[in-house]
Amino acid sequence: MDGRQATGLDDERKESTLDQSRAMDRFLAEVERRAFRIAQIAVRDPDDAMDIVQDAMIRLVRSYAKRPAAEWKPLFFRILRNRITDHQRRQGVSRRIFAWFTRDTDSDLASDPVADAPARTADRPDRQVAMSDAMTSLQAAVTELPARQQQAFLLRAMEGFDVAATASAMGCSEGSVKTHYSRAVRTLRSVLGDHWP
Amino acid sequence: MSGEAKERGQQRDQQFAETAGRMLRQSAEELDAATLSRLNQARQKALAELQRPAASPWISRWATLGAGAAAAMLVIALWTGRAPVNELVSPAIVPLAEMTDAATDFELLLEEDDLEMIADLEFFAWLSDAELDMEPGVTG
Repeated sequence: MDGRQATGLDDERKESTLDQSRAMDRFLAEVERRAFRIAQIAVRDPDDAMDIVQDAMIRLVRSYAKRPAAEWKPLFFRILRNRITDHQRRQGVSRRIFAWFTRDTDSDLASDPVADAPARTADRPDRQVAMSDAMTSLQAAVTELPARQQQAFLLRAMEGFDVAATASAMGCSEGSVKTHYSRAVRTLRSVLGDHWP
Repeated sequence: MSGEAKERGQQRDQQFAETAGRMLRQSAEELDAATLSRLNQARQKALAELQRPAASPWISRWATLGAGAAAAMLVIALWTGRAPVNELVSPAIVPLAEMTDAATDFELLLEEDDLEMIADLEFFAWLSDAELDMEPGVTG
């Protein structure tokens, strides 16, 4: 009798894990492409962007899988934003260290080769051709936005978050989100011009 | 008049954001096959975390407390220069060589393999009891 009860509980647990796994699979499949694009625009490197997205997925599953599914989206984008910020900080440190070591040794390297290196997508003419001119100029303009403005713009315009959800994902006040977002839109419109797209 | 201009500006901002958002979403839907495959692999790797058995928080809490207590006992034993087990056997001062042995024993205990032995503590207690029970039969 006890054995049967234990088997029943095991089956229920397995079923519950399976349901959770299916729900999480659907959720991740739904957001992964846009998450990748957000990371790619932020860090300018597809391989780094892929690592960041994978890390965000693993952290979400590991820490928040048992939370209600409705909470996954803001949590996932918050984790993604943190990972992007970490990456940008590390890049900043390595750039400064590289600049410090090469400052006096070689005058030809006065400009920062890491910062000046083109994004890998620029090396792929097939991708460039596939992307329309309007998209290319939009991506370039969004890439140049300050980090917080870029996050606010991508979460609101691309992901469709409202102000409150964006504030939660960015870890700041709703007022800051409004300011960052309106500045981002103003900058993009001025860079791209009235005739865009 | 300025109110109208402001409203027009806001409408243009909104139209611009909608167009830009649509284009960015479209670009996400048009990722190449290699990237989609890598995203799929990343997702499967993340989902595998669900199958991994999580350590019970109570077990890990007790393990942490136990390890902390054992470490504290060793530090006290080494600091006072007496090995607690030997003290029970004889009140005499423990020679330096034995103290070194105690430290070595603790190092061995800290090794990963020996954690399994700690987990089998109940078995060793049972074995000890069983040996005590058998003693009269063996001697008599």
